[in-house]
Amino acid sequence: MDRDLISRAKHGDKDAFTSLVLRHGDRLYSVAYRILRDTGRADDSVQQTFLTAWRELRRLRDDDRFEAWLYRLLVNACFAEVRHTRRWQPGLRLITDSDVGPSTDDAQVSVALRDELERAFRRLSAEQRSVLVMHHYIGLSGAEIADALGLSQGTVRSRLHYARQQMRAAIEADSRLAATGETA
Amino acid sequence: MNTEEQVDRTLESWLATGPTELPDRSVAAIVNHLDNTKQPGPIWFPRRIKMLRFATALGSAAVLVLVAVLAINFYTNQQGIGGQPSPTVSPAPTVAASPSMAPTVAASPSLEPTETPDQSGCINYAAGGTYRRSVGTISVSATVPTEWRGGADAFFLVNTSCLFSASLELKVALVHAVPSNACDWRSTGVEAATPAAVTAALAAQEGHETIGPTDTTVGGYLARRFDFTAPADLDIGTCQDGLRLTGGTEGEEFGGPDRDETITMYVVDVDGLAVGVYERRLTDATEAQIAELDALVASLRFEP
Repeated sequence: MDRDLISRAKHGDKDAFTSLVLRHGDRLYSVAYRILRDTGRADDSVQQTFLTAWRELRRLRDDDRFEAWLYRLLVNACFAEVRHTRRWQPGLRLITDSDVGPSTDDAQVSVALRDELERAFRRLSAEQRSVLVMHHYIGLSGAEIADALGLSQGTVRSRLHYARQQMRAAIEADSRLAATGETA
Repeated sequence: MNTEEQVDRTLESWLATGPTELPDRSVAAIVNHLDNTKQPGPIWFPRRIKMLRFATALGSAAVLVLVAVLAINFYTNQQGIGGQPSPTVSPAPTVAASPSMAPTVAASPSLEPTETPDQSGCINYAAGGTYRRSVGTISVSATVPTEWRGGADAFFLVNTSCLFSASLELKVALVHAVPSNACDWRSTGVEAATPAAVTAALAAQEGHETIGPTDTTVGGYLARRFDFTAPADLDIGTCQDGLRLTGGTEGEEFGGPDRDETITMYVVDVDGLAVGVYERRLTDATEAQIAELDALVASLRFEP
């Protein structure tokens, strides 16, 4: 069904392209937010992604690769957002209701762990964040990530390894704090 | 210590929180901007007149080349030389430095008849066998134990998953750069063009515990061996991108060691090229596992 929409969009059919935006927008936004950790910048990245996709759609030779191509455009847009921002926001952020678990004593541990993970994630490069999100959030394999981003599988593996190392250290740090009864 | 599965679950649970819907106002903004964003014409149909001229010129040039090749072949055969190869037919040298190039599969008779990577990009050697990959201009091979996995686009072997840290890992890659500080590697990279320079740089590298270098041989070539472990007080969080022993072209780098790992690295002098052979194992690896890894290294063969 995407193929028909893509084909029509290539010939300038805005309604067909709008349908593609509706089909893929939520997922791209989810990924962008998880890479950038900011709704406004995620919004900007997704908008930029779709406008680039509209402009460059005729260069897409294999319509079956549309989704992978969108991911690549999105990741590039996220990288551009990072460059424009120059540095990450500081570690503290407003914890929203959607982030907090059940209201029990364990919730304090949960919130503390999320803060540790947030801090660890913000220390990752944009490249490492992207592969971590694409693997652990979208569920793409190393080969699929390499294919979507135009990287070698060795590079994907290397980035994922370092990213997981950092995140694992944060998880273990929280485990140690929890074991001693301390809070972050 | 958290298992890989626990890390997976924690990460996935954490990533699952957060917004998942593109706001309607964003969709509206995209649609509104479509009118202001032009789609260029199809790139395979430029202006007709220019295309016709180009096609005509290209066709004429092709005819001239064909005539020249035929003429060369004709006169070469007339003179009975035959064996003088034209420069235009000699194979292009494999000069790529990155080990991420596609492997030269067709030439080697020692590869399994079917080498299809799985979804993680690994080739599963359930029955063992010979694994061969190009590392720069060198062909490198190893005898793989059963149930190991090999990378499809770079020389590395692991005894478990290709994606994540395995309990045993072997990697072979050229070495072009060695940071002076393994933790602050982004800003302390040093070019190291020769095996001697790489060895000296590694011996002086900060950020980890080091034993070596000691002299040995790998695959019949002279090598210098190092053993690296992490400092007891290592806080990986202070290293922006983890520890890194060596750098170079993307894919050539090698990271670590982590708190629970030991890395043995050989700097092998293969006809003047610095080839890095890296063994990674957990510090509590069994003697059998260490022997398995050492046997892998002993089976390495380099064909410049």
